[in-house]
Amino acid sequence: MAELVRLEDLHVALGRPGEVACPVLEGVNLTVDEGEAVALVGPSGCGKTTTARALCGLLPPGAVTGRVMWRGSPVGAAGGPLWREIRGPGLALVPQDPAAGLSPVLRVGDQIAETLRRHHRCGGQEARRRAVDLLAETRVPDPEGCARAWPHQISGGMRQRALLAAALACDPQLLVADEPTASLDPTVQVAILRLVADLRRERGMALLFISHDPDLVRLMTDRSVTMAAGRLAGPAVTGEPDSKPWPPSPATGATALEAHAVTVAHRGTGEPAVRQVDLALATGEIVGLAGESGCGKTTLARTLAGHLAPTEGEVTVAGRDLHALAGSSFRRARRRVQLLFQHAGASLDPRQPVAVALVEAGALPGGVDDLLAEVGLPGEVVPLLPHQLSGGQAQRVALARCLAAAPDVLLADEPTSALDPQAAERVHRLLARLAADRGLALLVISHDLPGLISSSRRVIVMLQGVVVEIFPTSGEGAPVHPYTRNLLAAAPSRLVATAGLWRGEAAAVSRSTDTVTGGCPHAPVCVLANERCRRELPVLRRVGPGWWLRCPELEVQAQSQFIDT
Amino acid sequence: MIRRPRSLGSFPADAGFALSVLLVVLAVTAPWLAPGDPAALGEPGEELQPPSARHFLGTDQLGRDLLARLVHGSRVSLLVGWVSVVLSVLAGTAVGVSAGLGPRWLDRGLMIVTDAFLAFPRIFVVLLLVSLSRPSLLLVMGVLGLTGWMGLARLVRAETLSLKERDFVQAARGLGLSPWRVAAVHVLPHLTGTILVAASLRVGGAILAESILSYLGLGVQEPVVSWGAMIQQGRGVLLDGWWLTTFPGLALTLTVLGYNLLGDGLRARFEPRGGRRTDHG
Ligand code: SF4
Repeated sequence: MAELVRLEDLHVALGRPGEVACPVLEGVNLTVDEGEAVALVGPSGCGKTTTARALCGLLPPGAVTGRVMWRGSPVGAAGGPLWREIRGPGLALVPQDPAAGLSPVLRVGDQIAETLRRHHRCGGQEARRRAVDLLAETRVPDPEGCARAWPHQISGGMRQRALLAAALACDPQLLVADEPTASLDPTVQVAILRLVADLRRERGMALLFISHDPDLVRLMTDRSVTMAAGRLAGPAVTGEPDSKPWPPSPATGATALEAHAVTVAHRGTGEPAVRQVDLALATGEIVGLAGESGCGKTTLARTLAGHLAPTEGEVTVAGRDLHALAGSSFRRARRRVQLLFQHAGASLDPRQPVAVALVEAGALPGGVDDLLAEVGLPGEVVPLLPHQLSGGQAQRVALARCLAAAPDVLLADEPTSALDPQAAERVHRLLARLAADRGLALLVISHDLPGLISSSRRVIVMLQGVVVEIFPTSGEGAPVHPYTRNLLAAAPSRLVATAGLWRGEAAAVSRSTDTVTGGCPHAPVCVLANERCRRELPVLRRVGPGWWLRCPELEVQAQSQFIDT
Repeated sequence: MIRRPRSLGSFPADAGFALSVLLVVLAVTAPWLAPGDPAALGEPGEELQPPSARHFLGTDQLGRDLLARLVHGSRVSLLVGWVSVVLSVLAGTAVGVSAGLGPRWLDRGLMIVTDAFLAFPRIFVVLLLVSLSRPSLLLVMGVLGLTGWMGLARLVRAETLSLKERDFVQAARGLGLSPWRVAAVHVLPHLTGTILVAASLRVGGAILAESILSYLGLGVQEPVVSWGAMIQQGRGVLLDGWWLTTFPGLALTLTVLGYNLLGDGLRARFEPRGGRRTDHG
C-alpha cells in the first residue's frame, strides 16, 4: 500500500523563548501507510503526544527539526500553507483530554460546523446539519441536543465523541488518536474504541493509535511502535522502587469530615446529581469512591470541598457545618479540605510559576523545595509555568499545593485516570504515603474499582448520585450489589478479553447514564429487579461490620457471608 | 505593561498600529513639530489662504496656520480619547469584575444599572450633561468616560463568569484565598487581552464623540484647538475654504480607522479562535 505519512529523523525541543530548549524527541522515524493501523506505545512522558502533535503540525515551527513527509513530499514547517490543506481532509487529531479539546465558549455543534466551514466543505446551515449527522454517526444518543449544548453540559464520554465527530468532519485519510479514552471509564472506553474501529473499517482510514494499554493496542492496530524517553525503543521502563509497605496499615483517628444526607441539584437541569449521601472520613484513613463517569462523584467531591453548596443536608468539617459558615470562617474551614482536581494542569493558574503558586497556598518561601521533594519533584520545576510541566508533574505540583494548605482531608478526583499503569501505581503509593505521614483523611475517586479495592480501606460505590454499596476491603466477604459486581467485571482488560462485550450492542453502554426517576438506579438493567425496586429507592442498610447495601433482594445473601464465619 | 508585539500578524493590523503610534508621537512632539503657534494671527491679507508653500495646509479666517492648528489639535483629541477610555475601562472593569465574582444580588443590581445606562443613547446623555455647565476639557473627558463603560462592563462580566468556572480559579478559592486576592491575582490578569482589545476599539469612538461635541460648540473652547472645533469653524466657509474642513476631517477619519484596525488586530491576536466579536459600543 502507498505510504501516507512519514516522519524522518524528527527532533523536537521545547522551552520558553530565551531559555535553553529541552529535548523531547530525539530522532524519531515513523511511517504510516494508507489504511494501516499503527500503535504508538510507551509510558507517559516518553514523547508519544509530542510525536502526534509534530505529525499534525501543531508544534511551534522553531521547535522541530527533521522532516514530515505527506504522500512522499515534505510539508515544510508547521503553520505553512500546505499544512492547512492537509489538516482536516488529510489527517485529523483526536486529543487526549476531551475537556481541553473543545472551546468552552462555542456550542458543540458550532465547533464541528466551524471545521467544515474552514475547509469550505459547505456553508453555515449545511455545516450545522452535517455536524448533527456526524454526532449521530459517532453514536451520540441525542445528536440534536448535543449539538446545541455547551461543552460543560455534556459528559466526558460525549465530549470525546464530539471531538471524534469534529475530527471526522472532513473525511481524513489518517486519524491520529492520542489516548482517546484514557480519562473515561471502562464501559464508555470500550464503546468509543469500538466506534473508532468501526469507522476506520467503513471509511478505510489509516489510524495512528497512541496508548499505554497493550490489550487495547492489540485489539485496535496491525502493528505497534514502542517509544521510550523521546526515542523509538525497546521495552518500557518500569516503576521506581518504593520501600514503604503499600497499602499502609490503617491507623484510624478522629473524624475529619462528615456528610449527612447530602443532596446536590445539577445547576442546569435541577435534577439531583447526588442524592442523600452519608459518609465520614477519619484521619489517616484511605477511602475509595467508585462509579462511572457522570455518576456524581465529582459533584460530591466539589460539594465536600466547598465549591458547590448542597441543596439539602450538611457537610461537617471539624465539627462545624461548612456551608453554614460565611466570610473568613468559611474560607478557613474549606482550607482544611483540599481537592486534587481531575485535570490537575487546568487547576494551576497558567500565569503562576510553581513557586509562586505554592507560596500563595501557604508554603513558607524556604519550604518550597521540601514540599516538592515530598511529592517527588526536583527543585528545578520551581520557576516553571504550568504549560511547561508534563501532565504528571502538573499533578504533583497541584498535590504539593494542596499540601501547602496543611489540610485534614484530601480529596483526589480521578488522580490516575490519565496515567499508564506504572505511573498510576506510583501516584497511589505517593498518596498512601502522604496520608500515613501527615495523618490525612484521603478520599480517592476513581472508576477503577479493582484499583481502589487494593489501595483503600473502604470503598463507596456510587451509581447515578446514589451510594449503592459501602464495603471494607480488608475483611472477609465480597461485594454483593449487582452494580458493584458489574463494575468489577468491567475492568478494561477484562472487557477487552470478553470478546462478547466488545462485539455486543453499543446501545447497552449508554443505558446506564439514562436518568431514572425514583426507584433503584440499577433497576433498568438489573436481572433481579422487581416491581418494588423500580418504584421506590431501596434503603441503604447495614449488612455486616462496616458493610452497607442498598438492595433488598441481596441483603440476606450479604448478611450470610458474615453469619458463616 | 504588555510586551510590544513586533508584528500583529496582518497588514491592516500593523498599519493600525503604525497609525496609532504615529499619532501619539505627533501629539507629544506637537510644540516642536508644528510650524509656529496655532493661535498666532497671520499678517494682514493672509486670511483664508488655500494651501501654499508658506502654509502647507492654508490658513483660516483669522490667518492662523492650519497645519499648526491641526498638529496641536491632535493633542486634545488624543488626550480626550485616551483619558475618557481609561476612565471607562476602570469603571467598566470594576463593575464587570464585581458583578462576575460578587454575590448574586450585587450582580443583579450592577447589571440593572448598566442596562439603565445603556438604555439612553449615549450622545443625548453626553449632550445633556455637557450643556448643564460650562464646557471644558475636563468635563468632556469625564462625561465621555462616564457614558462609555457599559459595553465593557458586560464584556468583562461575561469573561469573568467563564473564568470563575475554570478549575484554577476554583482551586484558588478552595485554598481559602480572599475574594480580593482571587480577583486581583487569578482573574484580572486573564482579562488583560479582552480589556486591551475593547479599549483600543473605543479610543476611536471617544475621539469622534469629542469632535461631535466640539462641532456643536459644547467641547473645548478657544484658545484650545481640537479637530472637531476646527471643522466647526470651517463650516461657514465650506465652499470658499474647503481646506478648513477637509484636513481635520481627514485626520479624524485616519485616527478612528487606525484605532479600529489596531483593535481588530489585537483581537485576532488575543482571541485566535475568532468567531466572537467584541462590541464596539
Ligand atoms: S434493588 Fe432491585 S434493581 Fe436495585 S440492584 Fe437490587 S435487585 Fe436490582
